[in-house]
Amino acid sequence: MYTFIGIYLNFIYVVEVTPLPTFEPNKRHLLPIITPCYPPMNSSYNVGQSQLRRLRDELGRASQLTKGKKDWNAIFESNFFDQHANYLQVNITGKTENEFRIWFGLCESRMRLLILGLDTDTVQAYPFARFFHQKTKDQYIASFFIGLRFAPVVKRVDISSLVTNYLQTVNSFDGRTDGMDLTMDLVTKADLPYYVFGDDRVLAEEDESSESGDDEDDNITDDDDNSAIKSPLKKQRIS
Amino acid sequence: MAIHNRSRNRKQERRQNDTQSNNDNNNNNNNNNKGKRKRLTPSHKELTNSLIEICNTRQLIESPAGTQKRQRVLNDLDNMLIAWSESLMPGSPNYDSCLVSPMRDKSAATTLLSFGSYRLGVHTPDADVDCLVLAPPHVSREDFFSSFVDVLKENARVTELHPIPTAYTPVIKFEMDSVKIDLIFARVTNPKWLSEQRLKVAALKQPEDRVEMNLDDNVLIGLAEVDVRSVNGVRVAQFLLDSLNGKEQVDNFRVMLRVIKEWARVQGVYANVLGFLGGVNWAILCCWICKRNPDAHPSKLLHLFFTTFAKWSWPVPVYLSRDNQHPPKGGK
Repeated sequence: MYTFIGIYLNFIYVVEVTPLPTFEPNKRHLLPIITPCYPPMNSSYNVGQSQLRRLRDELGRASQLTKGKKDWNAIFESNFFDQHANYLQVNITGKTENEFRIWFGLCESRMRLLILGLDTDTVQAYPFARFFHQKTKDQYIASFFIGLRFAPVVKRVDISSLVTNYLQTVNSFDGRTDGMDLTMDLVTKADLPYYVFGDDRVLAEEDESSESGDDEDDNITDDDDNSAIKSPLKKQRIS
Repeated sequence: MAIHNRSRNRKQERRQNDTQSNNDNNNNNNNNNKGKRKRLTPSHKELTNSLIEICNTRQLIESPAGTQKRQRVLNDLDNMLIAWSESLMPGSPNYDSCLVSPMRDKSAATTLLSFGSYRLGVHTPDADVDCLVLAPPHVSREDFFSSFVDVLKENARVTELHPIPTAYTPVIKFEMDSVKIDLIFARVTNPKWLSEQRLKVAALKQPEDRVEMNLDDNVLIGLAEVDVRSVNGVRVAQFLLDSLNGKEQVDNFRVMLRVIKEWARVQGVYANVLGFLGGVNWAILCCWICKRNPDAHPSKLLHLFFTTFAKWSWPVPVYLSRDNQHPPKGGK
């Protein structure tokens, strides 16, 4: 009996590896980077048209900056917030830390949908893949920015129709609580919050040294009152 | 981290100086200023040092104390996993004989392997450690997400515990002594392969040294698709390190990858979940450049990186290897 089982198990071990789905070039894959082991897969299948454009721009800029290769610091300076006249600011907020963690995770994981929706025939989206985190007295905030460029022929673009897909998706989240909120504002370059211009590595150090508990800094981002933006999106709140 | 082979470097500097003095002679005949400017061009060594300096000022490199802490946490986690997997063996109180096959190697325990930035040696002080639990056949994924999660819950050193069993690659996220860990799981169905690999590692193991098991193609035999996905991270990290030629090239790759990752983060193009590139992507691209330019120094590699991929005709795929198109043949 045992001998039989032994033989049977040996037989199992020489069975070949089950063939698995592998990378096939098609229109879906805009910037394929193929993993080197079996099964070969596109490790960058998430890249969309807007992200590809941003990557190309930044690679090209860095290529120019490193030509003389004298000062490496130049490649660590971002000009993203000088490049566009208009930005969409997305604020993800939560009342408690746990609430925020769950809500942020959801909104972040669906963000590609928002970017995809914004990039159309008349609008180009330039997403910036860094969240600016803040903590005020009563909430946690993460802000995300997408540069927007409009085709010159277009007089008016209804942005709100381009973001409904995203809003519907995050809105339909079952675990949503009252403390979880999301706002979007169209801001011009001049109205961008100050913190987007800092070097965050330097900023982090400064924060540590000035940890004296005054909440003044925390509220500076609350620019709802002074932003004079005429946009269909201003103060579009979902709840 | 030793960045250069010194003698080779000196040779290269000498060679560079020779060409420079030749240039100077030529230029002196034509244009004095040009000659002077040439002499001011920093050497590769200086450029590489300034890159390392940047990594230091931007706090990208972990302190020795931080590294020791990580190693201690990983060793303790490894031991916790082994104790847990042994508790699932027949005869132990938690063992449920109805659920698993009675045929097994009694010495079979779990193995902990690292991958991602920690494995590649480019992790920042606050980075997660990506780890894979390679489990023997008697331990199931269900055990991992139930009884091992209980083990973690009961441990006072573990905080921020978040098991995500339904993810595309299921993961347990937690912190142990404030070291962030992403733990994934794969069950090996070939116990013979596992015990062979274990013997190999034991033979290599130096005291205090972490030697990671080599996941060759045979590990894939009989694996479920989700397990193949889970072992992929380790296999890719292993492939990248093995495909580089010697310590010097690995060191160049590391400096380059650290700088690229920081550049990408600052420029807002680093985030897989947002549709940009993630750590694995940047690592594969850096490796591609290193392999094609084996004699280039990090500063040259960086410029080549930016230029090559700025001009790349996407969607032409980037391949590091073409030898992996077909499933490996089954072995014993």
